[in-house]
Amino acid sequence: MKFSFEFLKEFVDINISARELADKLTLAGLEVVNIEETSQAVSLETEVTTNRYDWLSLAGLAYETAALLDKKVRLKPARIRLPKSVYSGVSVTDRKDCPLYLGALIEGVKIQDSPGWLKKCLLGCGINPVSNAVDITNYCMLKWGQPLHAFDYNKISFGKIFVRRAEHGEKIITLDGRERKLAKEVLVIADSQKPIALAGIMGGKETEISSDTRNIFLEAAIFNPLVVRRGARIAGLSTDSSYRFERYVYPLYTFEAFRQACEMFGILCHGKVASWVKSGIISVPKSKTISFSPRQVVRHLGLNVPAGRIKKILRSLGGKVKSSAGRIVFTPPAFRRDLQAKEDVFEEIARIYGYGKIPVNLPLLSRKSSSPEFRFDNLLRRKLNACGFQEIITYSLVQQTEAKDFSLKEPVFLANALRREEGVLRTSLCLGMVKALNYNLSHKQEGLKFFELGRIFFSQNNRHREVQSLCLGTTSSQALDILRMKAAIHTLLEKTGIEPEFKKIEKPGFVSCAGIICQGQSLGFLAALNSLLKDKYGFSQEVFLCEMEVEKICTLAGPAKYRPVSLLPQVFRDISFALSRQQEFSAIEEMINKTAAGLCRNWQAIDFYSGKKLPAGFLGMTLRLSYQHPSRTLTSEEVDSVHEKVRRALMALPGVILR
Amino acid sequence: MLNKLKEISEQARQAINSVQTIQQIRDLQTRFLGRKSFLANASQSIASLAPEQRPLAGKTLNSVKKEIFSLLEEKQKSLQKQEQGIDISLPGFPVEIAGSHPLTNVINEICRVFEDLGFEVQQGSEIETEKYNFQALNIPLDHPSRDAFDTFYLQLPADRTQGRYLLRSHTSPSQIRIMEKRKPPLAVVVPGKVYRPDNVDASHSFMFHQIEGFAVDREINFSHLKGVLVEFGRRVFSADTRLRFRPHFFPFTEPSAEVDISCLLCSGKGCPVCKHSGWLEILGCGMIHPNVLRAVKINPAKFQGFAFGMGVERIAMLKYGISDIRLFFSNHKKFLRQFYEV
Repeated sequence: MKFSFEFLKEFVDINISARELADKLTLAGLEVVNIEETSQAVSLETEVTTNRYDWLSLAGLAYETAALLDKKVRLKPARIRLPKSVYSGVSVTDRKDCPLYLGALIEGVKIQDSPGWLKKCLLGCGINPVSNAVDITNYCMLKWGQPLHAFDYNKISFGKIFVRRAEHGEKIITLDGRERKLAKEVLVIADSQKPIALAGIMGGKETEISSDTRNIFLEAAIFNPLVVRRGARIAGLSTDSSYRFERYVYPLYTFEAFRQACEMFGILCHGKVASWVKSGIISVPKSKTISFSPRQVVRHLGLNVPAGRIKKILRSLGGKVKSSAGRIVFTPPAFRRDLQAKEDVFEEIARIYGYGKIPVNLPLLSRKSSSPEFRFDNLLRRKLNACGFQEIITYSLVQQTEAKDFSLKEPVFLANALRREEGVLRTSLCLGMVKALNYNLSHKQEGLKFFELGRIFFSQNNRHREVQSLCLGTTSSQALDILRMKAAIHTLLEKTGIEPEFKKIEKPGFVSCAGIICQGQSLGFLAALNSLLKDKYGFSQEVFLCEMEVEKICTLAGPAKYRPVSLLPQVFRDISFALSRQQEFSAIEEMINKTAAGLCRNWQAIDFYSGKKLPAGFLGMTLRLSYQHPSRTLTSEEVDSVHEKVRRALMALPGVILR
Repeated sequence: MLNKLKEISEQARQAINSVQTIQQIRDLQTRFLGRKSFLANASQSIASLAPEQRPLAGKTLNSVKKEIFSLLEEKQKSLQKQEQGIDISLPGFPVEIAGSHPLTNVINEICRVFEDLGFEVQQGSEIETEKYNFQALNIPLDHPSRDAFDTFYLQLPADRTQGRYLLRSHTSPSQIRIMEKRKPPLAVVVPGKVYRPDNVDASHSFMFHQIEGFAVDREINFSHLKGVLVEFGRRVFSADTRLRFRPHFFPFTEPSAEVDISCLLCSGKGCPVCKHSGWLEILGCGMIHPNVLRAVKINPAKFQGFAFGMGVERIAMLKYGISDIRLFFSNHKKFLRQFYEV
């Protein structure tokens, strides 16, 4: 809320500058976010927390300022005496929607510009002056926090006012010139024919005050905060009026604002209150008495405020304070609805005394260990970094049509998505990975090796599931480079104590697919994007993706196992051959294990090649076999003999051409 | 004998002259001075000479040995002098080190500070229910205080007791989940993703990260909250960071505060980053509302505690002077590679 410093000074003596006051208010919980100084006036803009409706009025601000500066408040209420004659045209359908409705018929008004002081006052509070009648209602709203509305009485059909819910399909053109279709949830002010205002939100165009207006119907009412809130939401409107009604208005000020407006219509518009009506009762809920001991204040705040000081602070807030048997009994002022429990009072004491005076102490905490999941995630991060993978974080909300490219899981839909692009929760991390890779390629970034750790979500058997997932992604111009990724995954898992197997599987959207298996459990998959998806997502390069369930890795993970390192000499022998695509490499693996009789301790593919020299459908490769005896040095004759056996066995395999 | 020595001396001189490598020097050393060399065994031959010849022969043997030794030494030195290194002012070959995402780094850095202070780190679900996101946190169903927690709801059948399913709009539901399951004393921080239906721009994102923290015990009070956060401010920002506690309103704490740190750029003098106030808002906190404790069946007469919540992106942006929140999620390699763990 924006208010003028001069306006506030009318109601409380302020002997400090606007800037000093702004600091005091900020440190008391009413944050002043901006100070605007012109030659005319100084305006302060505040951010009012939802519990302090009273700070939305100059009256409430005056009480707060008075408490901070130890001054008295003088609100200067109107002195007008309202006539005896009763206006009989108001009827309220449901008291719950509108507990109080004050209305007055003011006759013979002259609509013109407001006097300079009033214009200046409104401008200082960020409201543009319109005409004397409208300005009066705004002035009274600013002062008392009670929104008012002035109708052109002659345009109200038969002078009847109904406070009722809108009929389905009813329409109104509001003051902003927009036609609005109404629903049952919206409370309206209607005449005998149609709605003439959205109650507590905005008036109607038809009954708007104009320069021709002669008679005015003034409304000061209390509308149900929830009803106004829902109505404003449906209409997609938030006005100074609805904002205040949603947060509560103080019934005593409803009447004060009504009286003051009536008085001002007399002075500034030459109007006369012909009759008025009070439908409902002005009732102020009684304040709760709150009792506490000063020791409780210390226990809660860690701050020792002397009892005398506590009482003084509470009195300055306008409440009643008594002491009995070492306890302080506080009755907050009626307008402070937010003070309900002793903790609320402790905050009042602390904020007036100053949060800054609360000491700084460290508590003695006996720590328990952090969650294993949190620690395992970080463990994985370190290992992935060591394997050269950079962490990325992508959005969890994705487009459904894209999500299904990467996972067949049933997605969880948002009920109130902002855009279609973020309509479902991701069912896989692959989509975000693909986009991040693509974004980087389009910015000429190379050597991309990314990973992401995050939740995926899906529906399963009518229940939703949320699973921590790990995704790796790389790109390359060489399809064979997926084997680097495979080795990286192997190393990563090996370094968590898992010996993975890669089993060929089929997966829609992918080629070169392998399931990653350990102890019969599928941890996830490794695959390359197929050409259709590469094209769809704009890649000319190969894209390799791997996604695994973190919980499964975590469960299977274990400490390192030590095996003695053999210092006996190793002998290397290379063997080159071409392998038909019809023949899986695993057959060769099996053959070596069988033929080398435990002497070939490991082997490595040191080269791959394809080209014109090879028959179509064949891949050339060189294996380097390492021979080592478990307990003694091998002679070169022994190595030659076993290597020859391997060569022969290899030759005998279908789909293998030895070179 | 003397002739033989002369001959060897001459051979050595020639051989050493044509030496090119250190390895050749080692070979010559073995050849002329090694255990099996003529010179090594010459002392025995001298013993078999006539006594009057012995002194001269001995002398000559020694001087030849010395000569060869010093020639080898000299040659080795001159070879080393000739050895050319690489011009080390040439640019180095780049090495890339992969790292964590900057937000992960900030989360871990903050969590470590709180772990040192005695907090444990826990995690929670991103899918939550109205009960845990709102009601148990003393946020009434239809109230302006909910405006700050605009929420994505999910198309899932509502739970009979917990209400509609949603994406948590803050990390505070974890506070409820943990307090419901465990008894005080508790001191926990919970980092994680949260979601709010905000349109994306330089300072808004529908997904961001928060860190929730809370401690509950018999005598935890507001001064402890201050102590913990002051320590946090000093360690995460800088040793001379000052904190300012401003009264504020949150439904789930009472008293509540917003905490500002002295501006990292101007250290409080006033600059455009802090809008000339000298302060930067950094987190919200307070003493846990008794209604929240009641909701998890902790007796507020016996136990009390504090809670705080902070936005990770905001802290990262302030720490590193990043002006656009979208950078965190576009994952440009050149952006990501600038950060590292501290």
